[in-house]
Amino acid sequence: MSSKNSENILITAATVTAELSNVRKIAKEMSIAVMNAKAISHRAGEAALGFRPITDFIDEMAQDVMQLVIKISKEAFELSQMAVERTHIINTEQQYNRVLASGKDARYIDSLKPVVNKIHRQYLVYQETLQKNIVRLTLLLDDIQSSTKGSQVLSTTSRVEASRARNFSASLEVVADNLEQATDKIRYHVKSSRNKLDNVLEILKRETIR
Amino acid sequence: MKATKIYDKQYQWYMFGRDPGKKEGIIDTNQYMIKTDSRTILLDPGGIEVFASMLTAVLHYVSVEDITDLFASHQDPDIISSLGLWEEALPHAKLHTPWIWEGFIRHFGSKNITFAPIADEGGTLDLGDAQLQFIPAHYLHASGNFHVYDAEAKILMSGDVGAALEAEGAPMYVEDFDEQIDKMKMFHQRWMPSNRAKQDWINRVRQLDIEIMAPQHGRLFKGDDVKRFLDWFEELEVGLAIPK
Repeated sequence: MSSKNSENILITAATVTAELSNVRKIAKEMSIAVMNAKAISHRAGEAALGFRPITDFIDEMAQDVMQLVIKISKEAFELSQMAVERTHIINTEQQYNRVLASGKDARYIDSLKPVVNKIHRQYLVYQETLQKNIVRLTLLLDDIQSSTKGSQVLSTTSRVEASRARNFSASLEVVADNLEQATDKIRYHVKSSRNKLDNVLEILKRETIR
Repeated sequence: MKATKIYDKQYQWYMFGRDPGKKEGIIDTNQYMIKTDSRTILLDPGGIEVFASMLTAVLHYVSVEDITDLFASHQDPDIISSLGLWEEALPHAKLHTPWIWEGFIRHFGSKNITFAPIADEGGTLDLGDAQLQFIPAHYLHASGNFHVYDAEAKILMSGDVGAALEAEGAPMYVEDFDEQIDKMKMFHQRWMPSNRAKQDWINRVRQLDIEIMAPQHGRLFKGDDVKRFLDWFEELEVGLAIPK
């Protein structure tokens, strides 16, 4: 049991929040780019007919990502709060254990044992709740990865459809390129958050077993 | 932490302090406990740093279930920052504290404890055998501040009034009042902000029959040294951080 691990959780929660802020920014930019692409494809008329459903799909993906980011940020905030409370419980348990160790000859030392047991049970509850919270977070991050999974296929399709848009093909190709770059960045940030959470989860599991 | 019984008749007063395990740089504090047959109160139970040694010392005299009340003269960390730790063992205890500090003291990790706010004019607490009075000591030094007077034991727990910055292992009682002045002069001049508040407190305390004046830092005053202190304090100009 270590309050150092609580610090790790706090740092991870803050890092995940920061990574997701980037993801949200990218998704927002994607959404704006899609609006632009819709306008171009509208102007291109018949030639860009195949591009329109693609823009709808990208828009939907960007909206999904932004919604997930809101949910994850809420969970990450709860994770930091729990990490602070866990630190308090760990420090409290350490203080009470110190009393048990130094007060062996105190007449009423036994009156403290139920208190120490209660504190330890609280610690175990926090430990379990934290693990559940982290698992929930990782599942939400996986949802983002799933939402962006089709982006490579989409980007290839976009290029094919863009090339048919004659005078407008250059503008639409830029949209296709941007889509690929944006989803790559999102997937990178999400993966990085996921790795950090996996590490913390592993530490917590090891701590509980010990 | 050293424990000293300072009153022992129908009920007991204990003073805890002079902690040899105290970390360097932390001001030494005196904690008090009044134990009757039915209730036990801790007066200014101390900061987080002394919690473990304070609780260990207390458990030599009472079990945790017997501690029913806590008193915090004001909101300073050396008075009550241990609250969040005490709460785990004393979920049913009441905390008696100046009403103006409740929202501030809750920052010390407090979740469940019942606050019993003391009104500005003071109040009383019935502990069975012991009857306590909360004596207003506002602005000495905190803007909401109380001392505890026990008329039966003739003890005034005087918070920061009478406090001194002492070397480690200082004796429990003032032995030579004149020598004590050097140790407490700066403390009172710098920590006490108001001459008017000081005089109000002196007028109030002169009405009380006091055998022991027990501050939160330094040595306790006994017998004639209580009057000597009041006379000295009356002459002392306080609030000196602001130049004239």
